[in-house]
Amino acid sequence: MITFDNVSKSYGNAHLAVNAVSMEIAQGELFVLLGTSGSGKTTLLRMINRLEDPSSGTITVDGKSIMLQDPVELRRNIGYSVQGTRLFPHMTIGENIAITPSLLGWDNQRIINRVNLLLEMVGLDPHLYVHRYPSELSGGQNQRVGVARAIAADPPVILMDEPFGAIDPITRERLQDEFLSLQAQLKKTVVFVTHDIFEAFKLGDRIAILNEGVVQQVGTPEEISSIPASRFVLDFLGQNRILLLLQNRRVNELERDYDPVAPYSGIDSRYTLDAQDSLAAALDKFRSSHTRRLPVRSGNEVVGSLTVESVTNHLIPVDKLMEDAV
Amino acid sequence: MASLHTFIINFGATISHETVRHIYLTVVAVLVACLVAIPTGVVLAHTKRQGTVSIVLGSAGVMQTVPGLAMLAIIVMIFASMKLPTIGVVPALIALILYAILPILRNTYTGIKSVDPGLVDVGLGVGFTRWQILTKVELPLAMPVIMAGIRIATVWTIGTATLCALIGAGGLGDLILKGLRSISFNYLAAGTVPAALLALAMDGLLGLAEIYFTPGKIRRNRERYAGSSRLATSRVVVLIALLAVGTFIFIRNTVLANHHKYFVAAFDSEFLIRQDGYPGLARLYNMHFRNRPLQLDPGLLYQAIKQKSVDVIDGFATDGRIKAYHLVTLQDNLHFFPPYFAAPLVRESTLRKYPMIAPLLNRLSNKITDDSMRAMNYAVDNQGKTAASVAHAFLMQNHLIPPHTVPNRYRTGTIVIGGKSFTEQAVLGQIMAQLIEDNTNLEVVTHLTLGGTIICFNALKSGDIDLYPEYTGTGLVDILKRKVIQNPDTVYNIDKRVFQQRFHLAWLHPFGFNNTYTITIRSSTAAKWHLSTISDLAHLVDMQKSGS
Ligand SMILES: Nc1ncnc2c1ncn2[C@@H]1O[C@H](COP(=O)(O)OP(=O)(O)OP(=O)(O)O)[C@@H](O)[C@H]1O
Ligand SMILES: [Mg+2]
Repeated sequence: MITFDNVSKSYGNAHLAVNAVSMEIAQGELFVLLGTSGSGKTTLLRMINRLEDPSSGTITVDGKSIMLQDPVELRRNIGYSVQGTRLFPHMTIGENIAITPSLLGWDNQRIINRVNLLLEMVGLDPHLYVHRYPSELSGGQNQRVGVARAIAADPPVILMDEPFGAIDPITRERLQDEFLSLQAQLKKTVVFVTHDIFEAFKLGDRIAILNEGVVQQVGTPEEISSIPASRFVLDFLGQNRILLLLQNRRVNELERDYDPVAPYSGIDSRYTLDAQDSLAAALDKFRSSHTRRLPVRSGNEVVGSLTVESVTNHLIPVDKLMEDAV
Repeated sequence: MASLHTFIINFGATISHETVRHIYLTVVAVLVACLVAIPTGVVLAHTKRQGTVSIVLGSAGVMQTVPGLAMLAIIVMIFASMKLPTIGVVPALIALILYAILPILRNTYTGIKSVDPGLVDVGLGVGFTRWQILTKVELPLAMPVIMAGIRIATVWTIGTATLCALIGAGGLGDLILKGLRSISFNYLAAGTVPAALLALAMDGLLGLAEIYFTPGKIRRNRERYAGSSRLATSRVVVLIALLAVGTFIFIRNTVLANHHKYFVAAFDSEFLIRQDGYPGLARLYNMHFRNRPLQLDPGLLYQAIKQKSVDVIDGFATDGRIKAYHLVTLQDNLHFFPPYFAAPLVRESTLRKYPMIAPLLNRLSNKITDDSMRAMNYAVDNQGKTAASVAHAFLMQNHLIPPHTVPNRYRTGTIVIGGKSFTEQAVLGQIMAQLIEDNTNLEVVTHLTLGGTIICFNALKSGDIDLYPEYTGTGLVDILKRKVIQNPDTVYNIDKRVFQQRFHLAWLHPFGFNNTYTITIRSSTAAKWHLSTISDLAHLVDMQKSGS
């Protein structure tokens, strides 16, 4: 759907903001660009809708080189939410969302229906909000509108630059969850920029890790957390690696450690591990049940039991393995 | 001095006329300034060349630092060198426009520059074209700042436009200048109060326009900007008030409180520099005042000597105030001053184009005596009559115009009559204007407040005016730079010949009176010190200096 072929970008100095990037983003994929500040995420994103033009290399969308397309036309067919969710302060929420549809010449009724639908999709009551101005909404509500504006004209491709930045963790979680379920319905091709590792691993179908303009690794969250491609990726994940492992490894990966004798656990699922549980969820169940051993269930069948030590012991050799992989 | 009440009744039409003209000057200047400054500001805000930006904004800023009066003078000089009209509305408007450009330009530039670049980015991202970004994002967001600039420019322009009266563009400045010349509070108020009210009204009107043009929620921030321009208004009001108060205090204190053992002289600016004025006089009579003579506006001179703040002034023989204020003129015993017989000075091309003009104006030949001129001047300066009504009475009395004139709509040409900005010239200008208008099919336009000799003479040479009343002595000494000659006929003949050869200008027959310069003192002073000639005065001044 979107391909980068040896794309580089410099802002007129020796330093390359993006350095020889080649990768493919598949249709319907939620693709995350992850990296520290200044690593070139925004630059890479903005080259897709020609807000910046690459210094060398080619980018294609749907097989067509974007350099051969009219930039204004191109942008009307690609949703974009800018870093810091900037809504136009002189336009109402409704007017903000309606921009691209009206630029594309939709008729009025269609635009009104669309705006109402989008507001409902992002969890804002249209009657309450459509005529308000951005300054009359909270930061989180503004970000929802920013997402709505990006998908307003139902574009096949959406670019989002840290859409959930600068917001409290609880609201961010909720926005992420809503966005995931929205994406499950819409199946857009989304390029999503973030510097938040957990956001990347939670949302991304695949993740590209950038450092100083160079793509260090492209892969699914599982691939990246188990087999870091470089020293940089390992350091970048840092201590979060343990947490990511806990979140991305499942109980059934510890099948060898199962004890066939299972203690009685009744029917309370809180005190029974599921084979599909993440290790993080498993640790949480050990903690809340105040026991060191819990039964493991696969489907409706109890397949054995597991001790808390076997979970923690598992982490160390895996972590070692990761280090060895680099 | 007429009461303010009757003054307003008598001059209401003039006040409203000048106010309308003032509004016209202001609105045209600000509109043109907007048309120039807003696009320029937009372009500057988008150019990548910082050098260009600082050059343009810098030079606009420098333009602003030039005092309004100097700006007017510069424009007039440039126009003169390019042979363009140096008087009237056009040069005035150019000066006002130049003045109004900076605040609008600067605010447009800052307004657009201060639009969050992220919003421009989003604008591009959602698919706006560059033009749509400008019209739908940048300009609406910059509007409050741009409007604030326009408001500042408008208030400034209303203030500066009062200066344009100096070059005959009219407006409320005309009334203010008259007030200053004749120390008439009525005139001063008639010019100042409408100007201040106008500033407030325009500012308020633009405030409403600003609310109307400002989209949505940015209106909330409006108060911030409104505050700054309200400040500008009050500044202008305070400035004008200070100016008025300052003038009075200047006369009352600086001049009046100057109790002195020595004679203090005050002359008008032209007399102070002309060869047939103070420099030549001082040399011939060897008369040197202890303190340098003060420079005062002609209208202020009489006030100052009457109130004993000065002892010696220059005056004109025909000035009505000499008698009215109990003043006497000293005899020019060494024959310094040349004769100053007034006569119409006309372009030859005008005489060729309208041959009936010369015989018509020559009907005024020897019709005005020293006394009758003095009486007419007195009627305007001290009895609150207008120059036009005095002129009309004179023409009727001498049967120079038909008793009942029907308004003539079928004008076949235009004559422009100029005049220096003092009463006698206004009266003579009106006499000639009405004479022509009521006896021919020509339309007459008058510019009777054109500053001094040089402005009038240049306007005549360049054809901005067709004629104006000039004095033979002024022609000889001031314009031709010749030595003083006493015989009036010789002076007239030299003027006639040389002006015709050198400038293609014709001196018509003199009106009859000799408005020579005089050295004027209070009659009480003359009696006390037994002064009758200028030599007496020179002698006394010398004695005072040596302390005896
Ligand atoms: N318009 C520009 N002109 C010059 N240099 C720029 C410009 N935009 C970005 N850069 C430089 O390019 C590099 C990459 O910037 P970019 O904005 O892509 O980083 P980022 O990964 O989005 O960072 P952040 O997480 O802070 O948003 C940085 O070194 C930055 O200084
Ligand atoms: Mg960025």
